[in-house]
Amino acid sequence: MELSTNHDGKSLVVAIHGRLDVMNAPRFETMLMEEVQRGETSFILDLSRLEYISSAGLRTLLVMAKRIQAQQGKLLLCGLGGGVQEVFEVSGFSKIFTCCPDLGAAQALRG
Amino acid sequence: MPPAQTAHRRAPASNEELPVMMEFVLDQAQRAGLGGHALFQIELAVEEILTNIIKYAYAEAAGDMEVECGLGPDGFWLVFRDQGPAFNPLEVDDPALDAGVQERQVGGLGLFLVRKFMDQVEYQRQGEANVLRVVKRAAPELDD
Repeated sequence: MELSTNHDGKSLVVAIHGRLDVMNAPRFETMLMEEVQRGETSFILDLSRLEYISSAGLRTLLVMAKRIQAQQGKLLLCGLGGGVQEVFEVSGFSKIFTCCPDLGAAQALRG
Repeated sequence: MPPAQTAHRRAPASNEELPVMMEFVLDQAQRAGLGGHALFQIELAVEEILTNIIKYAYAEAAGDMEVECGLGPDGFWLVFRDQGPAFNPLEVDDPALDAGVQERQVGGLGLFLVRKFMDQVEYQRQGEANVLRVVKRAAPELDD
């Protein structure tokens, strides 16, 4: 897993490359929580380069969503495809997260 | 396509051994002719089942996890064994899929995904062992 982050002026855009599994989910959670602690409240997670996600990765996203929502923050997901999208649909996560087709759509929705 | 041999691997139930076990199974599945989407689903099932054994089968004690796999008439099958207390993953309740962010419980999804992604899931307690058999139909997928 690799993360590339950039701030587009309104949100921290985090692109996740590769895999989000039981081996690296804790590291992902730590990195994201550091941003939350630094005061960031608006996140867009770009999953277009995410190839694989297991329940450990879902768990991390849910923990993060709870934390951000508790701080009245915003979390949008975009770019889900293939197996990742299927995992989201089967687990019901596509309903509890706002998922946009791509980054542009997420930025437009955020306003 | 040459018939896949039945393969078997046993390792201490630990996070360190997980990637090796997963690679082993995926290699066998690929040799059996599986790819694309079916391979993704098998990978996920293997991670979820082994992670569950690693986390819960032995509490703080040491023990082994075991996997056997091969291609049968029903598809690619996998048998997982551990020597932990009896645990039937088929008796675990489904997560509340309609809950919102705050209400949704953290966890409980792994074995649910296994049940959804595999075509057959069977549990047996054999002596002191938990034996979980899953099958993924190896039919070629139209979208691959």
